[in-house]
Amino acid sequence: MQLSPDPFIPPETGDGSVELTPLQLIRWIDTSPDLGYLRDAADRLQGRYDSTTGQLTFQTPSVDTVVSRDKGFIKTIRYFFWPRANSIRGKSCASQEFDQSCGNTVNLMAVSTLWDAFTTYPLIQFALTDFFGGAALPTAIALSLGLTAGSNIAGKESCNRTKGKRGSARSALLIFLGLSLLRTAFSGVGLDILINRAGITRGYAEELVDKRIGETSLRIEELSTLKNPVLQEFKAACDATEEQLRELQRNDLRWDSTFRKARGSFVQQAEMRGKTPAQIVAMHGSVSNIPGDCNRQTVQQQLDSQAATDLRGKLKTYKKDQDSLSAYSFLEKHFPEDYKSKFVTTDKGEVEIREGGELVRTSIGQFYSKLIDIERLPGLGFSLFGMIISVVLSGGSVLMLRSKSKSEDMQMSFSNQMLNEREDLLNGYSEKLAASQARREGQATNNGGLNDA
Amino acid sequence: MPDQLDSNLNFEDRTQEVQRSIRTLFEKIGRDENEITIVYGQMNWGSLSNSVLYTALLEMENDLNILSAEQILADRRIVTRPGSREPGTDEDPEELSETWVRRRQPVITKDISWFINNGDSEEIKNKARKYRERMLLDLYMEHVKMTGETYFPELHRLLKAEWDFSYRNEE
Repeated sequence: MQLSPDPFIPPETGDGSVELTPLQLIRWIDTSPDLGYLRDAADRLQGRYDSTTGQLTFQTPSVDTVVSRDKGFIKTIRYFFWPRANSIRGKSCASQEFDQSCGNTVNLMAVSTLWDAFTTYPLIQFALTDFFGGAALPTAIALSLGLTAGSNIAGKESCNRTKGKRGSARSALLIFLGLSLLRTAFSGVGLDILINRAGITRGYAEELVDKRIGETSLRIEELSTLKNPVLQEFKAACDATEEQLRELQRNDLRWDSTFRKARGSFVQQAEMRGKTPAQIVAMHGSVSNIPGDCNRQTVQQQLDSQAATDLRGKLKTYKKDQDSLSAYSFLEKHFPEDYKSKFVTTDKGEVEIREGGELVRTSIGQFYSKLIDIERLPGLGFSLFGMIISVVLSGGSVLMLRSKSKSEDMQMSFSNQMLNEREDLLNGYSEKLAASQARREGQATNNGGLNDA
Repeated sequence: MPDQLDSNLNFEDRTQEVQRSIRTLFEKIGRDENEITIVYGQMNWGSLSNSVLYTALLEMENDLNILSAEQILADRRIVTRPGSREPGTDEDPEELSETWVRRRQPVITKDISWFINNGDSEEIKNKARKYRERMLLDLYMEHVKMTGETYFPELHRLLKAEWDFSYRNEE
């Protein structure tokens, strides 16, 4: 017979069956640190002894003793965000070691989902600011926690891979993975908003300055290379009329009218002669009212040329001011409409982006442009560190949940057959308790008798 | 105030005077202070009321010995014999003590642990212990039903063996 190192495991008998020893189970319950609440409940039972009749009666324990242990509003709410260790397994059976490893998995999952909630709530908050105003922060927190609870539920469900539930377990794991990836992707952006909002705003202003200067350069190029769409339109009309005129003979009745369409009448030509383009436009109200398709083209071309010259002067000033002024001052000076519509100054004197949606769009753009540029990557600082933490936690959670769901202990814990076996065995302990107690009493009496002898 | 309490009181829950008196007693008889809780439990002092224990501690300090709760209670029931000295002429005559047997309550209602420790007979103690064990097992069965924690090594080993033998391949 082999001796078992554990005092609570009785030796096997020769035929392979094991003697159930209820008194050993009682002794184990009496020494197990986790079952103190059962001992307290048993010890608190009231007994009533009537010395006149010699009758001794006892209370029965309250049915709530075990049920009420994990109940309560706060605990229920807490378990949504930090689930119990045994919540990812079934209730049929589990060893202490398995529950400890389940606890590790659950803790990692909870840390991962809560970290994602913390890092993404600012993004949600500013995305909602334009619609919810002051209520955006509580709404964002509620949404983040809701996503956390949803992720945790999906994570828990992914562990039940018993027959008929493998598909739903796989789907739950995919949902957990999807939510984790989505939140991980934006965790760095959220952290950036949280700790570097001023930097994002400054970057946005600089972007805007570059954009406006770029637009000015493009406009100059467009005007100086005769690519102004309005000019192109007038030119096309002039070319078409000139073409028609070339095809007509002088004695053709249509020649006169086509000539007037192209150049205007001789009187109109005389009126415009010697005048500047601006004077001609003032005379007719607008370029499109000037008589003669080709006159319109000529005037527009001269106007464009003038505009290009003016813009070149402005561009020179812009480039000079871009180096000497802050982006905010530059916009305030040269593009005041932009500054007023895109920015707001707080009571503390800090400049902020006026629209939450614009802040979110800008921060996502800035974060990912830095992320893919190895030279600018260090500029992300703690936001990058936070995102890496999120990647590690999410990846670790998915791997641990997957490996746990495939373990044999997990399958045992969800097995209905094991539930029946467990009930059978516990009933066996219960049935044999009285016999064991009687045997113990008999042994005590015998020992007493021997001692007396 | 009754000599005995409804339920045992821990050393830490005693009044400062009682705790101090116990420490003094241990000091006087040369015992280590760390043994206080052990001796306290062994002597079943937890079942005594503060006043009874305190009075007994003072006597123990004088006698330099340790008495169990049962001995203390027994001493309190000893009937004082009439004094032999004749009353003097210059003082009030000393009153002779009268024998009085305390009337016991016909019904005692206390914690089950009290009956296990202080039951009048072995039969009562045994009955209380057996009932406690039964309730402990019932509560444990309920605990396992609620939590699925089959931590008891023998139970889990049997379940594992059954799984390996009958169900592993099915799953």
